[in-house]
Amino acid sequence: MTLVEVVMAVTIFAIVFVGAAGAFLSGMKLWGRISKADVPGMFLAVDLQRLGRDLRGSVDIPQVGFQGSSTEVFFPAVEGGRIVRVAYAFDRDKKKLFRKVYAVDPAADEGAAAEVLAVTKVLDAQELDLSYLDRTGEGMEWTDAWPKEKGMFKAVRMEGVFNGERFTKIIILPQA
Amino acid sequence: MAVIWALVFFAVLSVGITRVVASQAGLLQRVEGWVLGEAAMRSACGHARREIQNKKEPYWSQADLMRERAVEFGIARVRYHFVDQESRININAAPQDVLARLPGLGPDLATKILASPLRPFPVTEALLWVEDLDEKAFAACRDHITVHSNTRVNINTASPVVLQALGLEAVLATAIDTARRGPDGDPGTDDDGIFEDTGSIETVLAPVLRMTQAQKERLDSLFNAGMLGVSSENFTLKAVVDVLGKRVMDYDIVLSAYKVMRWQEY
Repeated sequence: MTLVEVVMAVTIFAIVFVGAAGAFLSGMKLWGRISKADVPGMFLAVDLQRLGRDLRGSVDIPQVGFQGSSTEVFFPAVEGGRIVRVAYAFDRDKKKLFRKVYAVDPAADEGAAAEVLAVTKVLDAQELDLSYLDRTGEGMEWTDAWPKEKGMFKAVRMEGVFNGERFTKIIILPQA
Repeated sequence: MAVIWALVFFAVLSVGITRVVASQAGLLQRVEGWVLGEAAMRSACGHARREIQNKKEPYWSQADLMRERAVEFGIARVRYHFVDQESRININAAPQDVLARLPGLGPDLATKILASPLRPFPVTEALLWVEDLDEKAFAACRDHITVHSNTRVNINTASPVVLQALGLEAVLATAIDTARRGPDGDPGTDDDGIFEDTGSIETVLAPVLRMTQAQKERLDSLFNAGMLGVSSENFTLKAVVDVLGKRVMDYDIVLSAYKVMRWQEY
């Protein structure tokens, strides 16, 4: 073995060692960060991000109104330059939360069926209950029914079970 | 030889681990970005509202409005500037002749807007509910209208189109725009001309236009009728949120010193 061969072998060994050690350490660092994170919670946050963005972007249109029960919430929004009624409805049998978009016709009768523009599945959850923050004479309280006459709610609370874990998420409407 | 094989094994293992967790790390970063971004934006709104409450002069030039502000919130940073809502015509307050002069409308649609049982319109998009007002007409006027302003259009920020809709001659509307831009001709720079009050209009316009008596009277009548002013109370906050230097969210928030009126995030 000549000196040149030794130098080349040591150089190659050093490059391989540094590369391997670097990749290993960065992998372990990333793994450490992820293992501390609540991964199911992250997936839940991603699924609920759309709901949060929709609610914060809702607009107070009295002709459409805000309405809610423990399984469904309706609110006005502007999508694609037109006013629509958005609903998030939890189907207790299918254990799924759906987002529905309805067309709004202010000239239509109150009870008339609205055209459904889109339906998408948002979330698979074992349980889901909605409640709404109401201003009372003394302060604030959560209520599980929101009639249209009350106008805009201050916040929506979602309590449920996702991947076997209980969760609570509160979405505050900045414009309320 | 065995050592090299061991190193190769660990390298392959590390690359595998990195790829598996990289997607989850990306997800974590997105979620952190959303959560922090929203909190940072709410903080920036507080700053913006205080700035509106505490502004030293009632008027803001385009340079004041367009100056980029920044609010730090932990590892998040919000950059924002203001866009004036009073630069537009308020469709809930404007009279028929003003609405009629807006692009895309006209006397018939203006009359139908005023007669609509849906007034006051909660959002500009509600104009599409007015009989015969189609998307083409709305697209033509949407950049010049608002529902979130007081009744006075701000002469410091209104576009020539809006000024003409108020009944000013094209030559006067253009002169106002030119005077506001200042000697360099660019809006949003430090040499912008500002109309501080009604008395300053003739002086600021002097290098650009010598007003006729009729033009002065038209301006005076608009000021006296409360349709034209020099200040603003309602703004759109155009904001960008970065977390660790990466853009995570854009916001358009309509607010005044005391209330958030519309919140849109992209």
